[in-house]
Amino acid sequence: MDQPLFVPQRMEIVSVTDEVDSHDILTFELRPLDGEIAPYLPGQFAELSVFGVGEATFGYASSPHETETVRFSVKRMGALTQELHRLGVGATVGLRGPLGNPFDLARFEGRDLIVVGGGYAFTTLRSLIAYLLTDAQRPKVGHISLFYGVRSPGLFLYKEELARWEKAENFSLHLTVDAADENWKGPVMVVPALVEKVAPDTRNAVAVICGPPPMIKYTLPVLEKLDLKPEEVFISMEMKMKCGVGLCGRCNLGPKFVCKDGPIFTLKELRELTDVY
Amino acid sequence: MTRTNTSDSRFLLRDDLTAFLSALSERCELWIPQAVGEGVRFLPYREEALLNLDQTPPDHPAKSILFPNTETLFRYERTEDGAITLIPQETTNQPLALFGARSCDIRAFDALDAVFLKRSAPDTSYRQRRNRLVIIGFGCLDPAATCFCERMGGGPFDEAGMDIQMIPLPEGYLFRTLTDRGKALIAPLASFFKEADPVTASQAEALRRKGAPHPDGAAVDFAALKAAVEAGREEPFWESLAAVCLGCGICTFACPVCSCFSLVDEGALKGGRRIRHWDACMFSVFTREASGHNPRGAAVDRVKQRFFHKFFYSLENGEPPGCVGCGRCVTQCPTCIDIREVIDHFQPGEG
Repeated sequence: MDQPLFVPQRMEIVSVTDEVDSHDILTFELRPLDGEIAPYLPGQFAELSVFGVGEATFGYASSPHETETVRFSVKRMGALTQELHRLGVGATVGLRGPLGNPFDLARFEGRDLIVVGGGYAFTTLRSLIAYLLTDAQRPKVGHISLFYGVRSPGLFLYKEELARWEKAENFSLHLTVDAADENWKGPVMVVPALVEKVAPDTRNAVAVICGPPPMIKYTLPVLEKLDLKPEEVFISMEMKMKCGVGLCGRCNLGPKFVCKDGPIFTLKELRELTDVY
Repeated sequence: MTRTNTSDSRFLLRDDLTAFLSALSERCELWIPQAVGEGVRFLPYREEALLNLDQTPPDHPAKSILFPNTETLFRYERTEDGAITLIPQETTNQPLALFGARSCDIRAFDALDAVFLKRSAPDTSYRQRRNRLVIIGFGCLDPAATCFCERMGGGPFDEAGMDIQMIPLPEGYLFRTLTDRGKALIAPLASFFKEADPVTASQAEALRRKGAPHPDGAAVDFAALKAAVEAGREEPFWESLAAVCLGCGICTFACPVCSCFSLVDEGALKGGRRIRHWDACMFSVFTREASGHNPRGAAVDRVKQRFFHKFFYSLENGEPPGCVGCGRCVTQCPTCIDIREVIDHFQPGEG
């Protein structure tokens, strides 16, 4: 008998980190109770189960080089995340993954990277950047420009890590907020406006975007204005998912499924598929 | 599936059908079309069930034998210390026999196979049932006014996918055994049958020829239909359908091909189960995200999704078209949305 498709791997919560001032995003660190951590790459996602409530989809926030555990940052949004937030260290959850395609890192080799993220979807980009900053991967890509925007300064995820990245070599960090507080010294504008203002050098660059649909929609024209080709803009798409394997029917972009054929699409691919997302 | 070289035909008298089904039900998990309440649907055999072979087509599609309306994928148990045990779905090797399904429902299994077996990782619970399945199909004597299987490339006596084809005749039924699997299913029940006499055999053959799929002419040119739907993505025609669609989803539940589903948990502290149940792209909540964002929040986008999937996306992905022409969505839509009008709109002059 095969491993049944929809039976998850049991995982134990080994730590919970409160990430933001609004206390509605927690990072769960998980260790397998059954078997090993299935190998994954940045950009992939998994279905997390809270038994008795159901499953929901989350991108890996951890990087493949962090081998003992996996991490997912989860915002309290609906019934499942509400229950997940109530679980503490020692509780058992389920994991089905990795699912979907990762960032095609071979296509980033030798190129500068413009990484654009907004809000809570930044988790996937954290996995990518943490991975690219490892000794093994760092030489493979050039300059990394990271643009990351949230509503207010207290809502940045992974603040300690951002502070480290700010000092990293060959790395520019551009943070922005919609509304400042008394300590905020940086720009106050939406992400697409900041990308346009900074106008990073795109001559040898590829771009990576992950964020809420409006941020994606308004950033794409800016990147095109900066002369990035549609086949060199990589977008991590999000749609509501259930099965994660291309069967349940809700996450399609035209004939493609975000879960099976994505979540990473190039702008060129996306344009050919649909504008319904 | 191994096809026997020559189809082997045997005759079952009408009066012996009840006893035959009763005997068959002891050898396998048998599903038959039966009258339940005001409808006819495929359900597991019971002695007291009211067999109905007359209604074309039954109100509910035969897909539930492979893709149940609701199924338990696994159970979980939680002990007092919080530890969780997962108990997978039980499996069996007992044959699963589908009796009396018409060619439209059986051709729809090709589309379900394309999704659940070939599209990505095989769906293990579907495959388990598919591997057990033996099909006694039913030649269709009296297609309804809403039937259009021939336009979709089939025909009332199309035998594709059947292990046995049963042809209704005045005195009883001719059983044409088409595969070794079909042969094995009824071999132990040989005493119910008699040899088909030449007159009976020629009557059946005449019916079969008359109702076989037309070799040319009648069927829709799917490549052309796909191209026309794709080119007509923004046509105002879609708005005219969306204007009357109630979003009730009956077209998808009645459809033998539609296979969208949801996964939900039903449980309490001590234990529960994860369920898969039919879902529908016609529901606005189907794609609504936890943030409230809904990519297909407008009715027109949902209507387009249904038809684009059937006549554009499936074909683009090398899967069979999403319609076999059973006409159930036509008869069951409360606002008379007619899939044949969609086909006609994009392929005028056909049929």
